[in-house]
Amino acid sequence: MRILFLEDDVRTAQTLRRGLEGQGFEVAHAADVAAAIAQLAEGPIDAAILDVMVPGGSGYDVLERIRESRLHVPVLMLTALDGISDRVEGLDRGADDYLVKPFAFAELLARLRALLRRPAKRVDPIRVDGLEIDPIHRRVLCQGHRLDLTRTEFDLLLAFVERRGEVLNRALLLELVWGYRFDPGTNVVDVHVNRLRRKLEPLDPIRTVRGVGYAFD
Amino acid sequence: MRSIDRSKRIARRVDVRVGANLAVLFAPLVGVVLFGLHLFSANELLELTMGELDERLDQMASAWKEVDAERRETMWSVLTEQLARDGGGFSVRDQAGDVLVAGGSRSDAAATSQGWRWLQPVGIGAGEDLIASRRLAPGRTATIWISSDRFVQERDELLFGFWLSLAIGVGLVTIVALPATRRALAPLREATRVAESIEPARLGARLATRGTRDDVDRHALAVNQLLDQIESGLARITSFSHEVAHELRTPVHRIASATELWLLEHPEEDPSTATIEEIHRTAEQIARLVEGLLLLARGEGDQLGPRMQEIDASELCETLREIYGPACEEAGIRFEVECRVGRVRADVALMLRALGNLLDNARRHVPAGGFIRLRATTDAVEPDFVAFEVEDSGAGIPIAEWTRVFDRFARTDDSDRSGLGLGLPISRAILRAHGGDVELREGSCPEAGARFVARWPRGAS
Repeated sequence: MRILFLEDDVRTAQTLRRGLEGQGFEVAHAADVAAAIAQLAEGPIDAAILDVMVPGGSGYDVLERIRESRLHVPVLMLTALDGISDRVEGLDRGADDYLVKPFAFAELLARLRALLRRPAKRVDPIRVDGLEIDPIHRRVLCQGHRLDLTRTEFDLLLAFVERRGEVLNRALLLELVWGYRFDPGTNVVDVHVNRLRRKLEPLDPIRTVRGVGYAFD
Repeated sequence: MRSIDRSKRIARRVDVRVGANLAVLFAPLVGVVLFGLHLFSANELLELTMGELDERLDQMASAWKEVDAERRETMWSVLTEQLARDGGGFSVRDQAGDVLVAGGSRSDAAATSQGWRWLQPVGIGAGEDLIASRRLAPGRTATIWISSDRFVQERDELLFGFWLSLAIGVGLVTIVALPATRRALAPLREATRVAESIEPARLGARLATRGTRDDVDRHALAVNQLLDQIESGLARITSFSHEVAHELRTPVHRIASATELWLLEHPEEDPSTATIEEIHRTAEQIARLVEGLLLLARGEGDQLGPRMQEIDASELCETLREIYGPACEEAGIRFEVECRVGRVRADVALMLRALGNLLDNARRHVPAGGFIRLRATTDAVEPDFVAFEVEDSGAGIPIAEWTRVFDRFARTDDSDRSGLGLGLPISRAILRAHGGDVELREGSCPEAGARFVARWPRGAS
């Protein structure tokens, strides 16, 4: 998959590029608007990650160009925190999601995958490794036994299961469960994950990725 | 207590002081003038009384000269009667001092003699006698006396009148002086009010100047200049720290990205894992600090731009309970939630963060077995405001620290390094962006420690 990646800070770009390539993406990096447009001309892309503040214009210019050429590819905008209006403006202009800088790579990856996958709302029960999760009736069977999960724990488990194998960081988990992007302070997410783990015993599907977050294997 | 405080406060007011000083200066001056007047009138009164005695002496003289014995006797008795009314009497003596004729209350021997002195009219007391003598014929001396009682009474009435007018005069001066001084000091009071409203985050207020170039006006100008300088200096510092935070973001992001990537690429435990993880954790912590500082900088510049939406307060409470409840439970803390308001307007993500900071702060200060209470109510003072209270059973915060806890990196306890030190200032910035504020109040019950109240207008826009 070819990803257009517009980011002017070369060293940050290098790191993220390496990460994305490590995940099997082909990265078309551009450091300014002109380079990004040139990359668009070079070949089809499957998704775009655009920094808003770049030399020679703004990420929105590239976004507009993508939409003008009727490319139905998902676009993830990278906005600066102090450009509050950016996040609204970005979505208004047809971006599919936004990420506030600085962000965790795992979060970028998870959002990018979510955009590429665009999963339909799950209605069928999901079966994984001894777990059966029914999203409609919000029921979980663990090795045939009904689990008593709180609303939060159920949403957390669903978030993990729908993104099997992906590393989810704490901020993303919070947003997936409560729908809000905010920093709750200290170890709140860990407490929730630990409680969920205890209820899933003897299964232990949630893996801690040290320093990054959690993954459901 | 309150009335004592109040009277102390009044006594400290400049206009009251000026009035009192005027009264103190004015009183002796008026006193001296009134005393002189009093002396003068007492003299007049004495002279009048002595004039009466003189008339009686005339009567005596004519009685003495009367040839008709019967008429003479009548005259003596009339005189006796008249003098008796004033508690006085008369006598006529020869050269040897023998009494020839006498009448009235007492013998003249009992009458005390009064010499003329400057302060005599003031010095005369009750029960003394006023005496006058005249030579009727060679070797014949007439003496007449009356009790000083009537004179003393009249004199003291006069005296009382004078002192009364002194008191009224001083009172009048004070009453006239008070409003006049108060008017003159009005700009100073206004300046005090403005100065009290100024705080580092709100330096915009200025004193009113009237262009009169008088003392008060020049003072106001000087204070305004001082405020201008402070404001621009502070703005420079603020924008500098804003820029520092801004510039730090990219390099910190680089570190965090690199370490995160390394951790993702090396899922197996490795001798370097702990080190890289520590670097990553620290970089994330710096990133959070920088992000917090930028948020505060935006708050100061009124650029937080909350995106308001209407939401049930109970939904906010429930979300907070879901997020923080389990963490409290793990720590052995009872987490109570009570919601008694309906719909409110707020930027939900920002408000969750503001209230979350308060809860997180409480969680870090409550020992196991304690409680945290989240209570949403209508504000007791302003019914248009909702108040979210976060009360805990921690040790509380000494009153001396109450304003300082909202400063960046303020820690009441130096050993507490668990927070970033930006939580409370961020909560306050968010509430202020909602047109409200976060305040620290006294606990509602004896076992309560700190009680933070986040309040904002229900229909905030």
